[in-house]
Amino acid sequence: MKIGIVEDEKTLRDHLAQGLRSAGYSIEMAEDGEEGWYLAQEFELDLIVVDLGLPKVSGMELIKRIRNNKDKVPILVLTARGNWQDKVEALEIGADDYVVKPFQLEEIVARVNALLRRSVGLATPKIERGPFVMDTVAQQVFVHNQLVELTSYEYKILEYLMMHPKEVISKTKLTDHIYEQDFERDSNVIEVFIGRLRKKIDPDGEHKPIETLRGRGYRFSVNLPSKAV
Amino acid sequence: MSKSIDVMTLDSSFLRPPPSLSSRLRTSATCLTLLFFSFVGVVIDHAYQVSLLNAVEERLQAQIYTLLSLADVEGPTIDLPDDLAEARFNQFDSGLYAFVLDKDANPLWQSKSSLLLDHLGLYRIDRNTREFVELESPDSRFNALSQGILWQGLNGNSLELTLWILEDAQFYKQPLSKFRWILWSGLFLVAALLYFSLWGLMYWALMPLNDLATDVERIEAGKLSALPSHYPRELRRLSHAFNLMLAHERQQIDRYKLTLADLAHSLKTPLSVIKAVLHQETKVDPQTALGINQQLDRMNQSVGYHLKRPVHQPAYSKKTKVPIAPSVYRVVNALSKVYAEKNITFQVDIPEGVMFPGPEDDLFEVLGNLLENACKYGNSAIAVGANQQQGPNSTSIVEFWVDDDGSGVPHDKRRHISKRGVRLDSQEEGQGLGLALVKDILQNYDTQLEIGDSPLGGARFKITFIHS
Repeated sequence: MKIGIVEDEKTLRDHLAQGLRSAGYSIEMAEDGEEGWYLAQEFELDLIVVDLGLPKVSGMELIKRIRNNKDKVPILVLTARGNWQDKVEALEIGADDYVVKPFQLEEIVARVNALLRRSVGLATPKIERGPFVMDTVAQQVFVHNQLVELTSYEYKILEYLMMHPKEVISKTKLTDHIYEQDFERDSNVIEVFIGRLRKKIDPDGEHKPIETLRGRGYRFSVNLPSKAV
Repeated sequence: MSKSIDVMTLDSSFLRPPPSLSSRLRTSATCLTLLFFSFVGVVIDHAYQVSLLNAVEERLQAQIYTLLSLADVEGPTIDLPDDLAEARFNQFDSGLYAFVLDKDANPLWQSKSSLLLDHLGLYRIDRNTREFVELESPDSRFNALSQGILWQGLNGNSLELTLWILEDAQFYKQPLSKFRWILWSGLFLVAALLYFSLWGLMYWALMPLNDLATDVERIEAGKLSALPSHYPRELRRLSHAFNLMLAHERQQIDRYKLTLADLAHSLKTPLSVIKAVLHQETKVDPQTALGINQQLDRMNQSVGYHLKRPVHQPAYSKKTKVPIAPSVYRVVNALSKVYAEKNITFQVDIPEGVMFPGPEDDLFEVLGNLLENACKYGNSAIAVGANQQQGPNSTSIVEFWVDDDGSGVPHDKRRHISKRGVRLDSQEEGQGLGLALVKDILQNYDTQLEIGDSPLGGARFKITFIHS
């Protein structure tokens, strides 16, 4: 999942980026409203964290622009102004949640996690697709209740696919959501990760949860074997 | 500065308020009308009385001349016919009487009409003199004209005579009373007409002032933002100055709030940075980091708490009233988004026209904090209600409440829950400041937060406002 952070205070921006990277997210950063607007337009972001007090283009204006652009990306607002009129206004113009400064990093990670789940229609932090269960808080994957060890990138790819089940996700889109901008991309690396994932979560090829659609991308769908009556 | 104004206001409250403009004008108009018409009445009455008496005197003088023309002196006595041309001299008690006296005031002749008169106290008048007097008998009053003459007979005899003509005062008083009745009733009617015309004029002239007072009341009630420009020229400068003052005060409040918000922003961002740095710094002993974090939280709480408080106390803004329902719907819609996962059902039952007796930002703080608490601690249902009733002395009583279906607030904790930093749980996010802020805001409105049980099974937070 790729998250955009628009915050003018460098130390805070880096701290947020580090905390969210540790939580398994890819990060793109902007230091003012104008850069934030560029970020929102140019990148496939799954969520944007916006500070309301931004130089050049204010946080409120940035949110308005994003929503006017018919972009439904979840927006988490950071605000130092704790008054309710500002909070309500931010939520009314299109923000989805707010955190008042100063905050604990854990609070931001929890809110980001909740917003991402909400954006794909999940009510709980657990994604259950047949025998495949993903705990998005603990970042663990279980198959038939057995814990499967995954690397960070394998987890990110599986998380994105499981959060968008039955959707065809192109290799480019997957790369955009998994990697950060300055990461050196290799056309084969996604295929390698998909291959490894298949071996780890479905070693016997019983469920075949990740389909390859030639020339189009991948799709997560679980066909449960029909039970004998 | 504000303290001295408060003191002046307090002192002036002990003085009797000056009379209103309309009562001043009414009193002056009444006094002036009464004085003017009384004076006019007295002058006209006196003038008429004088002219009436002159007419009586002339009439009596004519009778004297008539008598003299008929008289004939023979020796020491005077000869006059028994029946005179003037019929009233020949009838008893006719009201017109004539007497002729000698130099010792003994009657030489008297008209038939005067035969029944007695004790008139007629006296001698020096020759060639005349007196117009008022005489009294036990039964009547008379206007009397006397004239002293020296009669020179043809034979060289002379006789000193005094002629008295008396007329009953009724002949003078009757037209006088009639005139007085017409005069005073006429003056009264004119005065009444003038008084009511003045009343109408005063009402018309003072109407712009009444409009001004009504418009100021509407501004106080939050129904108008500035005075309109339709006042007469004399009041236009006042309304313009008033509008300038209002705009200036609003700008001041906005600037003040903005400054505070900027201050909050400039203090809170560095606090976030320090926390972030502390979080990243691995060399700091965990115990020390915990201590520093606690102090940072305290600083943050103090900044938040003390920066918010003064915003709620602009004297003018307390005069504003805002409808509660629209703000409730805005906060509920915002919170439905934030707490979407809990799938909370909000039930809002607030009649239109229920007003909050203060500015919108105070209402937002109260609503935001109470409703967010309900979202945090409730399970799936929140009810917001309000009603407005007529109180004593033309006051309105507004009750407002937020119910949730959570586990409620235990009785022994209700008193402490709204203290700063006190919270009943350690799981939900926040800093335990919300209810303390609500309590502080409510203090400005001389009311408090009541915590009870809600019909939904959880807690009820209820506020009662009384406003005029």
